[in-house]
Amino acid sequence: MWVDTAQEALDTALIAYRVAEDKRVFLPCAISCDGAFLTHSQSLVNVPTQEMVDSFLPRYDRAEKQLHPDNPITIAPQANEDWVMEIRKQSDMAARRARGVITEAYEDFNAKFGRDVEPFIERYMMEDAEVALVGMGTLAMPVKVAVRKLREQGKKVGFVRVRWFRPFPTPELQDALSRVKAVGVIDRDYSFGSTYFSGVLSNELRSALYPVANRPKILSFIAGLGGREVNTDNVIDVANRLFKAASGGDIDDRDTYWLGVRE
Amino acid sequence: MSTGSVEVVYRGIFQKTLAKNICRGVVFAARKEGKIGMAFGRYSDSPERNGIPAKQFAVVSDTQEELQEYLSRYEPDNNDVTIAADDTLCKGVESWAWYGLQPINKLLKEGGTLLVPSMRSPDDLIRDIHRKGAPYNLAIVKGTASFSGLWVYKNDHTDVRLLGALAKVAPHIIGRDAILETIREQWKDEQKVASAKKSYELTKSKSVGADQGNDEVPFEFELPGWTKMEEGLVIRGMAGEQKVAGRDGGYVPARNPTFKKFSTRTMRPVVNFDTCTQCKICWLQCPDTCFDITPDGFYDANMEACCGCGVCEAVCPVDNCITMVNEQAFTDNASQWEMWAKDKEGYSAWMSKKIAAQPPRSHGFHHRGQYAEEIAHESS
Repeated sequence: MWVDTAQEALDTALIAYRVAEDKRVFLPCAISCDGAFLTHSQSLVNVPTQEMVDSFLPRYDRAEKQLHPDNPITIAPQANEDWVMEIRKQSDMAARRARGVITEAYEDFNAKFGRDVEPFIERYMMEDAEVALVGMGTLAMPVKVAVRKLREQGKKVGFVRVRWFRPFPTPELQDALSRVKAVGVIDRDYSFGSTYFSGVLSNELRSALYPVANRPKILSFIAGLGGREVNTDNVIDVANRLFKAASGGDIDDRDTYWLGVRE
Repeated sequence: MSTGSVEVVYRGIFQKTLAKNICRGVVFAARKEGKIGMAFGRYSDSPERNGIPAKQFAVVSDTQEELQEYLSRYEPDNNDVTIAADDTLCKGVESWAWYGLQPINKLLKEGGTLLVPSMRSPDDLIRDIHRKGAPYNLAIVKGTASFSGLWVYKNDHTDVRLLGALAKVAPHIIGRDAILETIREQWKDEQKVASAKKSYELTKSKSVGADQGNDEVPFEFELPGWTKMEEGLVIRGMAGEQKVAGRDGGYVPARNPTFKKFSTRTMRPVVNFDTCTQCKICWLQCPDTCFDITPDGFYDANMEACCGCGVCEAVCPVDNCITMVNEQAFTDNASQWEMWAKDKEGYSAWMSKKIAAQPPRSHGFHHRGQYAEEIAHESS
C-alpha cells in the first residue's frame, strides 16, 4: 500500500502486520513510502503506547504452522511443477480473503485509536464531484490544495487516493468513480511499454472501470518521477482537461500526458 | 505420414549429457531424412539431482502439424522406444515430481522396444522390470552404465552405441545411414562412427510377453487438489508408536509412506551388524535420515528411504562394517537387521556373498581419485 504522511506510514505498519500475520492471509505485505520527499522529511507523529498497540496487534502466532519439537512439520519445502498451480490457487484465495481481513483491521484500528479511516481508499470532496483526480501516496498534498482552489471557483472536482494497490480496491473505485464524468489518473510511476504507455494505477483503473455501466472518460498522466515537484498548477491543468473531456470536448483519452517534463 | 518418439530415462546429473547427446542425435539424424524432430527434457530442471530418474524425449515427424499434435501432450505416453540409460532404472523410476513408482516400460507402446545398456542377461533384467500387460521387445547394448553427466564426461561411446542400436530397433524413426552421418558430423570422430555401426550390427531384440516380469504392483500417490493441501505446503510429522522416554509430549516420528526415494539408488549399503559398534555416525550423517534405530540399538538402513549416496560407508569408522553394493544384486527392500536378527549365520553368509560377487558400481566412487584411476585403466 501507498502512504502519504509519516503518521499514515506508522499507522499502516501496524495494520500491515495485523493483516499479513492473520492466519486467513499469511501473505507478504509491502508499504510504499514515497522515496524522495516523505522519506527525506521529518515530522512529529502520534506514537501510540505499547498497550494500545498490543491491544490491536496480537503476538505473531503461527499456531499449527510453528516448527517445534512438539509440532514436527516441514514447511515450504521445494515443490515441482506438479504442485505450482495448486499453491498459486491457495495464494489467490488468501489474497481474496485479505479484503475482509483488511476491512476488519481498519474497523478495529478506528475504534481503538479513535480514527475514522476508510479502508482501501480515501475520498476527498467526492460527494458531488463531476470530475475526479486519482493518485497514490504523497501526490495527495498538491492535489488536495488544487482541489480546494478549484472548489473556491465553484468547480466540482474531487480526489480519490488509493491506499491499497493489492488487493486492488476494485469495488470501492467502481463505487466512487462511476458517478463522475471524467477521471484523471496521475501516476508517480511509469510502466514501460504498457497500455497507452501509462503508469500502473491508470492501467489497473481502466481495467477496474471497464464493466461499469456509466464508464467515465479516463485520462492518464505521469508526474513527479524521481521526486520531481508536482505543483498545484500541474493539477489544475489536469482538472481543466477533465472538465473539457466531461463536456464532450476533443481530448484524446488514448494517450498519456507528462506533467512538468522539460522538452 | 508418421510420428515416432524416443524416451530416454537417465540418472539425473550423472547422465545428463548422455541423454542430451542421444536426443540431439535423433533430431539431427531426422533432419537428414527430411523429417522434423524436437528434443526436450522433463524433470530435468529443479528435480534433477544426483541419480534421480529424469527424462528426455526425442520426437520425429514427417510434418510440422504431426509434430505439434504429438507435442500437445506434455509427456509422450506412447513411445516407440524407451532407453533406460542405467539398468538399475529397470526396477522402476520415481522422480521427485511424480511421487509414485513408474514402471520403466509404462510409457512404451505395445510392441515397442526397451533399450538398455547392461552386462546382464535379458532374463535377469526382465526379473526387475514390471509386467507391462502387453508384449514389447527388450534389446541390450552390452556395457555398464555410462557416467556422462554435468561435470564428468566418460567418453566411453555409450551415446553413439545407443544411437546405433536405436537405428536397428526403430528404423522408422531414424535410419542407419542418417545416424552414422550425424555422428560423423557432430563428433568428427571415425571411431565413434565405427562404434555405432558395430552396435547396430550386434543389437538384437528379444520379445517380452505381456505377463513376463516383476509382478509387484508399483506404489502410487494421488496428487492432492488445492482444497486438500495444507497451506504453506506443510507436511506434518507422523507419530509412530514409539514414545519419547522421560518426557511429556513429543514423539518419535514414523516414516511418511509417500516419501520413497529408492529409485534414485544405484547402490545400497550392506551393514555388518557383527562388527558394528553402534557409534551412531551413520545415523547422524545420513543426508536422508534413512537409518532406523532398532530396539537393540543398531542402525538399520531403511531401503525405502535410502538414495544410495554412500555417505554412511564413507563415515563409518569400522573396517568392513558398511559396504556399498550395486543395486542390481538385490530384488527387494527388506530390512537387513530383521534378516540378521532372525538368522545371524545366514545373514553373514548372504552378506559375504553379496559383497564378494558385487557388480561394478555404476556411479559414485569408493575413494578419492577413483575416477582418474578408472580412466587411466581404461585407456591403457
